[in-house]
Amino acid sequence: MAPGPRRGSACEQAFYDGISGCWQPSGVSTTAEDIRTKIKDYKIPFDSHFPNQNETRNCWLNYLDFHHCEKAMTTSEGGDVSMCEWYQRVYKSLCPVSWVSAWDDGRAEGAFPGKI
Amino acid sequence: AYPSQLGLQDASSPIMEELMNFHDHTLMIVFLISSLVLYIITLMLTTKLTHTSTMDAQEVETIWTILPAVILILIALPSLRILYMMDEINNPALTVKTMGHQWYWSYEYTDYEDLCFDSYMVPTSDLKPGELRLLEVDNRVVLPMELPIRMLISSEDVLHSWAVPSLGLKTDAIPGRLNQATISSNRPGLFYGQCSEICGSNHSFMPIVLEMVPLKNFEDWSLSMI
Repeated sequence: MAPGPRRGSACEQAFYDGISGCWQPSGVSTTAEDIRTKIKDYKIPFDSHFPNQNETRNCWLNYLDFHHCEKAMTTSEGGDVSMCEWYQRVYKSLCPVSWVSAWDDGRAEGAFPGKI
Repeated sequence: AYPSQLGLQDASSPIMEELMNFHDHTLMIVFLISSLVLYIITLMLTTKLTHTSTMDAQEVETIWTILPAVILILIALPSLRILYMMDEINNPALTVKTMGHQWYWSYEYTDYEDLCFDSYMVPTSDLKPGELRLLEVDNRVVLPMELPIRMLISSEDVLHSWAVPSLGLKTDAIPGRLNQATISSNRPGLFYGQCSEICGSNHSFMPIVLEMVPLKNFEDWSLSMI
């Protein structure tokens, strides 16, 4: 299998421009290329629910949504927790690490302010 | 930047270029008005002519009402244009978080692996020759250049403000709130800034240094830091 976008290849510029669809699947890739594909996959796009400067609610709601989804998937039969991966990706990128650990501790102790 | 600099730093982002042009435009208007007023004052103070029976001055009053309104519109239109340009939707390639503390910044790159580090000012006694006093830090914020990057800014204790003048950035760091700014650098290099909201005794000693590098260098750096 061909490796990911090579230096000077047509896909490289498309990658830098953030245009998807030019990526080629990689077989034996180096870690730098892993990161390049991960950047493409892991970038959190603009969310029109939160068009302004204040992204607090974006972080909070995605954290809540992930845990709602995880709880729903684990309690129902045939639920697949990997469906919740998007919310997890978003909250991991957006929410400060200290907030996430405080909320996780709160959930463990039953002192979490949100309803899950 | 150079010693005894009076003006803005060279622009390194498209928004900053727009801001510099706007600043030049507005400052020119300010200079014109000030010099006109000063000239008129000198005329008033150096004439022997008098006129003691002034009743009204309709024509000049009309002019000096309409003309300032026109000047204000000429300032407001470019200003609003840039304001909206700063809020344009873009798809950031990377998200980085920064938390203000008393008295240092911490940075989190959590898009793929968890990379977190603190950035303290280098004390003056530890500076190497050629380094800038009160501006250098131990761990710089390395970022890829020419890509839009989402910067999320908050604080762990009191109000701070994360500012990098050459990129036209200044965003308050408010505890409990996550403010978003977009970084986009035209070129590689080191870009310095300082905390811009009073936050205690060492408010002047928590600078910010961005190191904008090509994407490959950024990837190598983040691998080495994890």
